[in-house]
Amino acid sequence: MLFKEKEREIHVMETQIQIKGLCKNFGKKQALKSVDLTIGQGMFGLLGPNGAGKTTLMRVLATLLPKSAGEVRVCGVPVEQAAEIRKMTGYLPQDFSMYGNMSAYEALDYLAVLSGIPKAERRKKVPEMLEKVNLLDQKNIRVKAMSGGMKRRLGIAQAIIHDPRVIIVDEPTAGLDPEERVRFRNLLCEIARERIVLLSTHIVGDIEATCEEIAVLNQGEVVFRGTVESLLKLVESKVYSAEVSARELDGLKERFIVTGILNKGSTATVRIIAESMPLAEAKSCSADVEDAYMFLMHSISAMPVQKGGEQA
Amino acid sequence: MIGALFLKECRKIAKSLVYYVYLVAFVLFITGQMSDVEWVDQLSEPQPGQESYGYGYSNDERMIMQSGMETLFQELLSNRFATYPFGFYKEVTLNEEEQEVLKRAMQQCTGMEFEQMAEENTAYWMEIWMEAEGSAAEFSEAEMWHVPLREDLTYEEFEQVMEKACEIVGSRSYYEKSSYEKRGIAALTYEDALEHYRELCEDDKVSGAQMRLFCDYACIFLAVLPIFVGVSACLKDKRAKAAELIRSRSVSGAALIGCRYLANVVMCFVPVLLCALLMQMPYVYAAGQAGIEADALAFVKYSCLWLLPVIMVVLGAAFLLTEATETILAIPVLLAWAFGSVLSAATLTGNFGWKLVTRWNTFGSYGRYAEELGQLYRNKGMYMALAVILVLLTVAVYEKKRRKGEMLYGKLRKNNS
Repeated sequence: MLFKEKEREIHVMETQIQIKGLCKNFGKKQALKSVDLTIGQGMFGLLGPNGAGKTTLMRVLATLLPKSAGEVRVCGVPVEQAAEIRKMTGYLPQDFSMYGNMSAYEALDYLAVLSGIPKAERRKKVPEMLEKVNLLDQKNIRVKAMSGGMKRRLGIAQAIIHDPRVIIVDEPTAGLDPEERVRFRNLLCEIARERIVLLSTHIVGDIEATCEEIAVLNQGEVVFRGTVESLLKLVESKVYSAEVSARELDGLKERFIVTGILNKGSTATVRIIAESMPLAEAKSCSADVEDAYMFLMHSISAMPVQKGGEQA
Repeated sequence: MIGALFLKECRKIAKSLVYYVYLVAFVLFITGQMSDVEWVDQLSEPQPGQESYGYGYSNDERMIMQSGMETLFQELLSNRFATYPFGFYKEVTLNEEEQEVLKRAMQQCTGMEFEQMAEENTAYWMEIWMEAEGSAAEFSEAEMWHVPLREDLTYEEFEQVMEKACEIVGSRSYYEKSSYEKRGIAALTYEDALEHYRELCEDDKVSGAQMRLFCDYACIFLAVLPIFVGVSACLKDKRAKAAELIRSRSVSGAALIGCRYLANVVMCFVPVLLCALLMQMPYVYAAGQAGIEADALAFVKYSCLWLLPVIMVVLGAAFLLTEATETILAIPVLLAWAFGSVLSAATLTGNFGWKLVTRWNTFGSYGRYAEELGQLYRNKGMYMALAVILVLLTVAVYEKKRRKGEMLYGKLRKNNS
């Protein structure tokens, strides 16, 4: 009985990233402050503003940066065992790029060699991966001639070619057009079926569309950890919309968190987050992750929240 | 995996512009230099009663004294004395008083006033120039300087003058005993010429003599251009913004740097080997025609001994400096090393010491070469060992950067958290 329990514990550990009290300092600057996280199989979203420490956390997990303190285990392996971690990890950096004069096929093949994949397997896997990311027809196109979307797709192909158990993807959709973004998100979801995929982004829509479990980082600290639903619960019954005159906008922004403004000539439809009915004519409406994120960031007051967006 | 990585690295180099510049520059340089070598005449056996048997280095004291005095005369005339402190060229100019001391010393040895000798030589060169009508070939065939030595001049007296000159001009000048004793030039006798011919046919087997000359020129070139190939290879990841991605792969630093380094060495060396083979062919053919058995593998032997260690150490240093700094610092540093080595050569033939660029700017002279072969082996062996150490250090630097995410000197890398 005890043996079976132990076995189950080991199995759980082997499909988890465990982070305990992780700190990372750059000189006097503390980029990560005692981060505790457990990340299981599937898509896990890491949300936070620029400079929150997302990339630092990802680079620690990808063994590209040493931690200053704490404990990190990837599938049961301590992050200090870099060679082991690299074998089981696929990493797509923020600005994925490769040698410009290599074709898509050559670049993927080269990176497969660097992951120790034998020739026979590479011959099978490289076209397979290119097909998976819809690049097989463009396998001879040079990296320097690729669009942002094509590069990202090549990036994901290189991250999964060695069949890793963990995939670390750093802001993969930044700069992509909406169609490419949706396609890329779907691809990530497909891959995440049998793996741990850690997706870092500051684009809330990506998280909403792909992740069940999320964490929000701010100034090196985890300020939220839970499901998307639990994040949404933070703003339940706190989101309103109202039609106001354009002159009232500045006053509203001072008093409330305004997450959307749709201008209509002299009036505007605004989306407001407030603890109680902000205006007599306001109507309650359903919250989305962006509202919840803005509310969270505002309520912890850890950073100056830019109140309100603008919809053209 | 290692083999596949090595081949991929070779292919990467073959696609780089810097490599093509390297190839073109090498071929142009070496063909330009080697085309001037006059060697066909040397394949025929000297006959008694020939008008001239050419010139060669001599151990004869009289010849050493003659060459020493001619050099002193020439440098005094221009008041420009070449010295090589720490291997670097430095020109020394003497004041009136110092010049006067040396002029008096020359007068003791020649029995002639310095000004008179200067006038005679100027007149002589004017005459040669007029006769040659600007022909560089004829001009260069002319005898160098007319510096008549006293009949009863002893070697001891000469040595005292050289010592005085060395004291005034400075150390690492021509006037050091180790330098002037190796530079006595004299017209060859029939017996000398016959001995040179025997060395060429039996010891050098013709192609050996030619390959030493090839290595002399190629060595200068290979101390310089592989720097650019190595720096370019190391900065490629950074330029392509692929450094972080490559560091995240499971390949070990030793395998990656080792394969990259080997690929660079091979890609730099193979064209050299091919050029050496192509340039050796006419010599092997001509030797065959003259009934001499040439050494068909001389190009491999000499290229591997003479040139491979230079390529290895230059690339090793370029790799280390570039990986450590992620800048082009290696270029000025290694250029200074290469040029310093070329300029520090007190003689163009032999005197290998521990120089990076080892010179043998003559066709033949196997006897002297055999005397210095031990030092050449030591020199090349040391540079090969140094190359291995440099590559190991590069691996260590790469692994440190990979784990620490920072440069060797501790500067933080850009962090986009």
